[in-house]
Amino acid sequence: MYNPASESMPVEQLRALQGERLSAMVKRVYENVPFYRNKLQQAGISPEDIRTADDIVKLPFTTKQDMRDNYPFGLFAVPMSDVVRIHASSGTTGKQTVVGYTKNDIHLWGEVMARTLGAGGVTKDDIGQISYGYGLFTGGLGGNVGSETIGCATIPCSTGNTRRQVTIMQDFKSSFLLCTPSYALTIAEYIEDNHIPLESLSLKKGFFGAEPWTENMRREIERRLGIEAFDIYGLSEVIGPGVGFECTEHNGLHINEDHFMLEIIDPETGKPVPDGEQGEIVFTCITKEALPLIRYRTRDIAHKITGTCSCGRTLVKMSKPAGRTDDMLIIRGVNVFPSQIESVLMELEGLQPHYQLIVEREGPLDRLTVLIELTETMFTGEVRMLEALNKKIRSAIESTLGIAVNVKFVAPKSIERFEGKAVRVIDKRKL
Amino acid sequence: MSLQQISIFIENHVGSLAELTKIIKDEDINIRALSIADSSDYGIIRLIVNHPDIAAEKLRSKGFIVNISNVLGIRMNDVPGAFHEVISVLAKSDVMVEYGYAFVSPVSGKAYVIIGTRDIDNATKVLTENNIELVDPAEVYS
Repeated sequence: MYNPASESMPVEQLRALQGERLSAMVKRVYENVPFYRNKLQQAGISPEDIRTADDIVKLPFTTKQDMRDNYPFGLFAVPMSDVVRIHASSGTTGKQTVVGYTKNDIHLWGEVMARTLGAGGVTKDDIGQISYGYGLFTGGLGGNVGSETIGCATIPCSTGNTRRQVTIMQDFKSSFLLCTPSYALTIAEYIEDNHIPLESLSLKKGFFGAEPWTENMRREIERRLGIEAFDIYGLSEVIGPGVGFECTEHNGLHINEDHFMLEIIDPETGKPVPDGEQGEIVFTCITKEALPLIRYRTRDIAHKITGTCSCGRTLVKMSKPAGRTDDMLIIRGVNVFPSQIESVLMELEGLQPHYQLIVEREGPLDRLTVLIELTETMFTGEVRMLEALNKKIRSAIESTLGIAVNVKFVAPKSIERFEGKAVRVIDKRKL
Repeated sequence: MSLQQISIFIENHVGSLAELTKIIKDEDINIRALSIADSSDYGIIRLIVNHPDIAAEKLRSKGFIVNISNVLGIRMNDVPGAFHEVISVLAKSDVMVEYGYAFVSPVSGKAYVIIGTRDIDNATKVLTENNIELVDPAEVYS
């Protein structure tokens, strides 16, 4: 553990610390950010109302739209003279999201990324190859600051030029790798195509994130690179990579909640869901100076993992995010995310079929049908096998979603594609 | 002595079977035997044809899901009790029959049954030992 005092702090002490930090942060933004001052005043809240961690639910939410409306620096809580770094995430739908860091924020980033790498067993004797993009994207420099904070020899490779990446990996004896999971597979492919023996590498661990990946991909990366693969989680609005990390249990992401308070809410009502239930991830940055967001709605979906972790950390655990609230369907009162079904399908013997969800209403009841395009690996020519596969998929989906579904196999290419991508949901309900 | 059978997945729509048979016809392939198994949502067409590899390749290229498996063709006299004799031999040897389809040839006066089983080697052995006639692939593929 990189910082045992913080990572395994007794829960009551952690809650008290969160309360103090939350209260101080709200006071700070109230004084320094006109947007938040107005927002709190409109909600009839004064900073004195926020004393404990539980008071967080009194605060209004911050959305991506709020960040766009205050583009570029409107939500910063410090003068620009105190800002030492600016990152931005590419806006595929609208303006870029701009984030700023003070000197202390960069230190904090180093701390939380050091915890992330430390949870995978990285020490100052390791050599880190950072193959995330360096630039406005937070991946490269976030990995870099964490690796240097631990004291590792750090190689800022950035992305691309796979041949050179592998040469560096061999010659510099990189012992851990940070990149996207898909780039890890590209590296593995290059190593195989060029018959490079894994024994010529010193790689032991990899830390992967910034895009969705499955347990099957993890196993594949681990097998093909001969390493242990750790999931990492972050978003630039909160700090970048380092918001959450996996320990060697590989069962959920510990959230650095002494700095980033985690809530899971119902995206419809805005109310917290019971622990363990799926909902929208909401973060509050309680220690950041330049951009302390209050209850930032990530639109990512996950659930809290309850119970203690055998690694000894008391930091709360969250599931790997499974989809976006934008895609959410409400079926018989249950929130359903198409990505939940996708991950079930991908975990079942590595099927990666095209699928589509059809929602219909029969009388008062909603009915969800999952159409799955059959592939040859699924087809043995026997009705019995198809029925068995159908049942297996159905029960896997039902146990994930908690509602009954129909599964129907359809012919290849029969699900309509839109610009090459399948249309995932057809809602035929007329409400 | 086993025959190659092509199984094809089709959805239950008017016209989907005709689409399949047109591909077979256009390749000038002769269907020697066929069965249609159906469930509520889809069907599985099973074919014995004179050129199974070509048929399978053509169907795949048109986007059909195809599986090739081995089945047994059994020839018997077209008289009462003939099929019972075949099934009894298989049952005695614990061979499980998954599915089957049959037809008669008025010209030869013979009856034919195609049998699908996972235990094809054992089935071949016991049928041959009991002097039950299996259809030679050469007859079908000619």
